[in-house]
Amino acid sequence: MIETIKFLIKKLAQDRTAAIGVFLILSLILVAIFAPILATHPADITEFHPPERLLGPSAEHYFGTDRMGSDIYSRLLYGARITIAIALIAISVSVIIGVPIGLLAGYYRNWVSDALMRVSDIFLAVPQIILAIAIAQTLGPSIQNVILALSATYWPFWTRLVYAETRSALNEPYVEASIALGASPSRVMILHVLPNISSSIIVRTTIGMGGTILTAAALGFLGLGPPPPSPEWGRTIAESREFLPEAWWYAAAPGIAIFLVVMGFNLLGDGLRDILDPRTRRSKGG
Amino acid sequence: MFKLNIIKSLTLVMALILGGAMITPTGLEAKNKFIFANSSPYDTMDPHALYDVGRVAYRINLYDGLLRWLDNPPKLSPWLADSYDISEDGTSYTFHLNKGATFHDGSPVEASDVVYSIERILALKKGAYSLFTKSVEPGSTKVIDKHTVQFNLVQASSIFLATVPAIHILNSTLVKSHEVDGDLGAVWLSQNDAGSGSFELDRYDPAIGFSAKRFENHFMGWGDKYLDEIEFRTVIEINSRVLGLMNGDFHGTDGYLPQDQVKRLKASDNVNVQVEESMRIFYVILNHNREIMQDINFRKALSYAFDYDSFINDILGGSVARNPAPMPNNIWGNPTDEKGYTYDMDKAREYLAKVKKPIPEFVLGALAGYGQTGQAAALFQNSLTKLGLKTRIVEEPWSVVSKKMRDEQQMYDSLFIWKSTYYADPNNWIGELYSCDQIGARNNSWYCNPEVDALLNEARVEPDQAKRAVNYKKAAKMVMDDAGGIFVYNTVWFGPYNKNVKGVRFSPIGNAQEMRWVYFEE
Repeated sequence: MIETIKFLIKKLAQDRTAAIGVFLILSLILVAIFAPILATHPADITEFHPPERLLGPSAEHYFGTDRMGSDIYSRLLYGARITIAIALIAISVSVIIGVPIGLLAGYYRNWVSDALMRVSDIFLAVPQIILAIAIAQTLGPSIQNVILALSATYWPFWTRLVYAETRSALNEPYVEASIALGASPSRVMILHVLPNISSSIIVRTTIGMGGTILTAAALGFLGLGPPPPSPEWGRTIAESREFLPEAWWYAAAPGIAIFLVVMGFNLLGDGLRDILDPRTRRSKGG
Repeated sequence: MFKLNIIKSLTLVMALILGGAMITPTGLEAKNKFIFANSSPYDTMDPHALYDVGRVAYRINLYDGLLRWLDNPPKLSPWLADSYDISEDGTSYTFHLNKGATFHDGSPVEASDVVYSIERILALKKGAYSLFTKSVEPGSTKVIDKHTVQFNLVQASSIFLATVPAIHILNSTLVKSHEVDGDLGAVWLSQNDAGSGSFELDRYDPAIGFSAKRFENHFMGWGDKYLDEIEFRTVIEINSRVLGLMNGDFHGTDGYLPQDQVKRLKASDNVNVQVEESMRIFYVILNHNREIMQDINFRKALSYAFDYDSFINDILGGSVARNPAPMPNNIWGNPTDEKGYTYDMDKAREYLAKVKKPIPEFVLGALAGYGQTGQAAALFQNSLTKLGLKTRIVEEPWSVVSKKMRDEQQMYDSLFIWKSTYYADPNNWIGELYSCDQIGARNNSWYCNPEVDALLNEARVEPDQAKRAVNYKKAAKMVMDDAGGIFVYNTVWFGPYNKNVKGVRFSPIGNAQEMRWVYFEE
């Protein structure tokens, strides 16, 4: 295990774009953890100063102030916490639901497996953002409901992936051998199939983080995210529209933050796929 | 080869010149077309189906009423009716119609059309219907002769005349010919025009808006300056409306834009911003149905906890005037000497300490798409949090809010909203917002104080305005002492128009959207 991690770190360090991805994601995590220390106006998450509204970037307010006179820089840092929490929990729930279903459906070839796959097909058939909007709208705006909406719409992606990978792994000699030796289905699935398809799951999960953050921001933008005065990034962009183009910093700051974080996860995902999956490795000219 | 090229180029130049010459006249014609960017989509053209402010344009431009509210301060003026008489007991109103008035198809406007129109409003039970439920019974309106019509009210009403402009007169023969299964022509009229108004419907598409051509034979006649065509186009995004106005694509848009946008428009060379004091109060509906809201100390604490000055001066840049009463400062009958509540956190704490029951988390409702309501809610939440109260802001679109407002269970604990002018009478505000019998309809705070109600009911039948004013002043003071709602400001109208647009006549009813006075100056 330690060997694998060492190998991964070495490989990632060699891949420049993946290294940028790692750097961006680490920055996000550090920002989220140390938000109270890094923020210049931590009270501005809930407190407002209307006389100081819509001030441009300055030494006092790095990214300017918003419509209520709060410091955008500080709110952005705290917004990172919400973003990470939403993405991590939603993705974990999706993996926890999606992977076992995919494994079961892939291992067995009966009507249950067909039924499971058809259900996931139904979820995949509806555009994800539309389904998430419908769920969030019905349940009302809050962080929990955004997480619920995202988890409910994301799990079939893992089911599909794991199902296909499991089906092909079942034809591999090492699986056939362990079945021949009398291993139980659960032993085969957990000890033989899962470890061998884990690289695909890791890549899908990393790239999925970026997509989730984007969808969460879209829900926030539509007013379905955490209610005000939450510093959620999507909501901040929605609020800023009224003041464009004069108060450009208001929309630019959260916009750039979302862009960088999503790009970070996508770059890392691409890098991991190159390392873990030799079949799709980009030619590196040597 | 060389010669051929010259001939070719010459032909091209000629073609360009000719083409240009041919384009010019159409260009001139288009110059006399006024395009208004409207924030709300027009989902119907039936003048009896709606009674709102956002979509008033089709009603007042395509249709006429017996009377009309004009100018600011609003004056009730003769329109299709040249004159009217009121019986001594105040229950019978006789209107004498203008004899030259015709509908768009050329047929004359007659008393039978007026009767058909009021009966249709009462039967459809939509739009302005609730104004007449208590006063006009179906079948009570009579044709005296071709040009005389008589309304016979259930009881004397001092607000009936003020609401007469809401009765838009339809061409009854035309509508009747399009009735299907007794629908009163509702399906046909939702897309077509059966009016006598200054403009005649040309094109209508719910997704785009409507355009109308000048009705040359309008009974009021036309001066030498007018518009040939008007178009009201739906443009929901504020930024698109503002940019379009600055580019010259639009010639006007609504006058209640956020102050930051008004500043942008004022700075543009293409735009003139006209300023008028309107009658549109911004206030907080407190839901008296909630147990905690029934405690007057709690309501008073809330009234002291809103930072009026900061909201008006910082967030709205001082563009509105503080309005402490449940009716506009500039309508008769308002309690001018009452100062109302100020932002005073010490007093708020004092009153809060007197609240014995535990205070649950409560909801501050706001209108999505109307940034100001959200900012007011955020500011309020800010001070309530300091008082140790737990609140949650819920922003929802008007279509959702307007339904929830009418439902006892779904109504928010509090809601930031405006009350516009539908008719210039104190009853439009305090009389509707705090009457017991309007609960669930126009009284969305479920406030019912028998003493206030008695004053309002009396004022509704008393013909003498001076006596009515006394009642309204008393009632307003009682509602304020009761902290029945939180009253914040009265709106100033900042009407942005293309710099060539002249003749705009603003009235709080209709918000200057009546286009018959407007023209372009070269």
